[in-house]
Amino acid sequence: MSHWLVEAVRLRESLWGPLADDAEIRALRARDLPLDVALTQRAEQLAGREGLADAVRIWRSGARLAALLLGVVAVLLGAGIASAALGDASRPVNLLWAVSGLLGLHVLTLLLWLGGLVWSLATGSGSGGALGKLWLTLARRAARGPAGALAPQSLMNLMARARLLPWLLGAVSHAIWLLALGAALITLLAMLATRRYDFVWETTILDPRYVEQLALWLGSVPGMLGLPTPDAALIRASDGLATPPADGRAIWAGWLLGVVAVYGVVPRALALAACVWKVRRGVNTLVLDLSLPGLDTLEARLRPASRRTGVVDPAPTGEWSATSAGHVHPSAGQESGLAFDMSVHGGRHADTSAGRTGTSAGTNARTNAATNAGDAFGVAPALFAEQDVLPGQAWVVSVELPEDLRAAQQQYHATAQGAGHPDSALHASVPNDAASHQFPVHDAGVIDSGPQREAAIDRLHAARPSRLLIVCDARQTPDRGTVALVAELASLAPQRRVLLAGADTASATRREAWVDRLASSNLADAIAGSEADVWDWLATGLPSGLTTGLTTGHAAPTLASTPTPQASAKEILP
Amino acid sequence: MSEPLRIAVVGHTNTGKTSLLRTLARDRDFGEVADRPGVTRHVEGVHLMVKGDRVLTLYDTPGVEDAIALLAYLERLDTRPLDGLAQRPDGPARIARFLDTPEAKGRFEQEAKVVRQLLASDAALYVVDARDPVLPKHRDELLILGACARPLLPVLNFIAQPGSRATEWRETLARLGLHAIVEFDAAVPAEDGEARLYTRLATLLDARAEAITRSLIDDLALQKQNRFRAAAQRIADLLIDTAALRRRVQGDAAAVDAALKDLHDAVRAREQAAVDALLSLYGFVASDYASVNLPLTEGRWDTDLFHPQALKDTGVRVARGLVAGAGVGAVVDVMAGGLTLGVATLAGAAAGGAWEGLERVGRQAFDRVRGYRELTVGDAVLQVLALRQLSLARALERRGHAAQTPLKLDGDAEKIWRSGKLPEALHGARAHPEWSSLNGKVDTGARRQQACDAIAASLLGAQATDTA
Repeated sequence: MSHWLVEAVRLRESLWGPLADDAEIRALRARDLPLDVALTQRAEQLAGREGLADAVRIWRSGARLAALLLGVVAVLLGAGIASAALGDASRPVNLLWAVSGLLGLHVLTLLLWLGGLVWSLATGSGSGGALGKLWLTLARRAARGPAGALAPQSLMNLMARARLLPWLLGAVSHAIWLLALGAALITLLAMLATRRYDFVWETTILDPRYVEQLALWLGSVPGMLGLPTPDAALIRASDGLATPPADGRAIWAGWLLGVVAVYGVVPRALALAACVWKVRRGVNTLVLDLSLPGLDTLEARLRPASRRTGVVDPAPTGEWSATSAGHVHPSAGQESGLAFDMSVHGGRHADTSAGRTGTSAGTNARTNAATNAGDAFGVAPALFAEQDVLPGQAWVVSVELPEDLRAAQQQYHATAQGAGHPDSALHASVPNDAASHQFPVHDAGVIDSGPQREAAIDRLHAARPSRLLIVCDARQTPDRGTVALVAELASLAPQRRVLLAGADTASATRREAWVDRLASSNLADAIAGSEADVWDWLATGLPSGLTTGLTTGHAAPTLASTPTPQASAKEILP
Repeated sequence: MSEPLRIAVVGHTNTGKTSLLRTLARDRDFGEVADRPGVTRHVEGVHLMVKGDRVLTLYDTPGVEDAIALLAYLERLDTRPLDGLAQRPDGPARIARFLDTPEAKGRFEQEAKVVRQLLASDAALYVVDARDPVLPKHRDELLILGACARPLLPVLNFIAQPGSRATEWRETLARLGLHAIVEFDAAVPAEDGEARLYTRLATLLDARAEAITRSLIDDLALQKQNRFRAAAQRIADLLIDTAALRRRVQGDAAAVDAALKDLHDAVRAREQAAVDALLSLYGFVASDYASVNLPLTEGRWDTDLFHPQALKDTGVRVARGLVAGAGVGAVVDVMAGGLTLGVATLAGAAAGGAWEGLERVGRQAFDRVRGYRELTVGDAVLQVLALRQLSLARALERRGHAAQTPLKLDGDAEKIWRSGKLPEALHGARAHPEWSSLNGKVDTGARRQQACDAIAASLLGAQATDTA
């Protein structure tokens, strides 16, 4: 029954499209059932919802009714054939006619069924008996509407796939035949009990010995069961010419009953038993074929490849800032002096107490640059040769700038240095009055590693630049550490710009991420527009080079009033 | 089943950790994915299931963002008194000490979540965006993660994208003692990418992990096989529907043209339904088109089925005369040359039950007398249909791996179908108009299913016969 419903639902879905089963699937998924159980339950639920279960029920009662109808007809026919075979006792009963009339069609159809069975077992196709098909046709009349037609169709599909269809239809055929033959046998018994019949055999062209042989042969099996069988003398005496002995009638009646029972009722009963046993066993061992179209996709839905655990460790609340991943406990800074240092200096050791001075840090950086040049994790060298510098000059520092972008910046640096000389042909674009107050541009190098961060920051602390350009790689992801470093560097000069180098090759989302994160660190107004402009600004001190989109309303005076290092550091702090 | 294997997915921010999880868990809505830093700020897990059992749990963690500062902070913690410890703290002890500080809830909360989850896991996948330059901060990150003393398997993500620096990364990782490295592009994973990832992961762990990853790999292979078998069933269904399709027409050329158009439209719509079925079978959604190189535009084939170009695309050769009519010729008018039901059809019909075949011949002769013509779809169209859907199924199976290497359709199944030797069962289907859903009432009986199975087997080619 459940398999039937599974097939009915599968058929329905393959013919008319999938049913909306999300709620059912979700519920079943949560229950962790074995796959076939889950599939069956889904089908039962959907069948109940879509009226398929009702259709199956209606069809079953219809099928029962059809079988009953056929049974009644069979009983009537059986009784009719039996009474026709014996006649009204006005004439002697022709034994050959009676036997062939009673058993002829039966034997023929039984042999056909057996042949068909062998054929279907060999080929996997075929069906079981005309009466079974008649029953199906009748039962189909009980089906109403398109859903009703699915019930028998799905049963047929199911049985055919399990190679049970011939057996099922055979069982129906045999049951009907059994009823007919049983009715015939009882009718014979009743008529023979209540009337006196004479039995003869007649032939015109056959040798009487053949008839005698046939009668003996037919009687041999019933004889084994103790039923009366005519002997040769009785057979010869029953040719309609001689006068048979007085007990001949009873013997012939017993022979006839025996032949109908043994060759009619018993084989049909055996065949019926075999079919019923086969169908029962087949149905009990039925397994869902999960590879059938329609079922094959359900496994993935009923048993997803993964199941979420839910959040194990929740996200912090609060705004993002470069110096905290999320919410900061108000007391965190006070709880530990160590933590406070970290917050202020963005990851750098707060080691001013160690007595390291700006100049010594600068020397360190240079020494490191000399010894570790070329080591990916060593201190990267400053890009350009350095002179002794006075406070209040222009500086450039690069943060995690890869080789391919360094060359361009070096070019700009050279140009900016050249701009210091009024006769430089390279800087024709710089106005003359700007060129009159040129400064050399100093380079604090490329900051990659932790030690480099310390060195550069110490050096810039000592140099106290008036203008600082921080060059970042726009193609990389601005992580918290990098943005915190940029923010700390920016706090070291009154005028600062952040140049997102390589922005032309970076994806728009990456650039956006930079702008967002810099804005969160109060550096939105420091993001440089074009590289050439910002380098002009660095070299000449003339206000330009800000992104127009981000600095609408910002004019030159605002640049002069950029927050002091202390102020910007405080803004970052909670 | 014992406890699932716990694997943390860690890495720098914005390297595709959540994408990797989505791909491995086949859960396209897991977490949040965007090309910006700090998208994932919590730890969330997902159990990988094999036959209903939880075998492996992947934990998505926030990205490490401030490794340089954290490493400096850890070093500073080392300079503090040993708090009564008898010996210098080892890696996990140092991490545990860090987790006790207020900074683990403050500035380094994100990093604290990562190392806390790593300490609670059996191993970790360290996801690398292979396009990122190798920087000291990555090394600091690995030093911190390494201090957790859990096996780390670096996963080079976005390896299929331009600008990948896989070699640099391999060298750097090797210098840090990480020699077992796996390449896995979460957006366009290689066909056997997951199997390789799990195998590598098992080499870092014990026998239990080995058994678990083996079961995962076997399950993946089984699912793949089942999916392809299901795809073959759907293609076979399409082919039967098309082969058994008939349109009877009586009258002049205009009526024939109208019937022909009707027939074409029915087949086109049926092909589209098959395409939709395949896409849904492989869980394909519109957003996947970007990463997968399919010969489809918005879910439709670029070339019309009845256009000669479709024949050329699939390498199906037909007699010149048939193509001349640009589409029309691809359809055989059964009655045009008398009883052209064809020997093959008759043979197929005979195999499926001789009676129906003979019956059809009789009915066709009768129809001819009454002036009916019957239109049916030619073999070439069936070949194109089969080859096109087969290529789609294979492309979906490879999930965009085709982006790098053009899909080669030269499997055994393709060779057979291109040669024009259609399976007997398909010829047999021509004799069963009741098998086609395009003819109205459809008989889905066991005989049709048998034919469907036979055609599906032919579509699966040689590899299916080994496994079936």
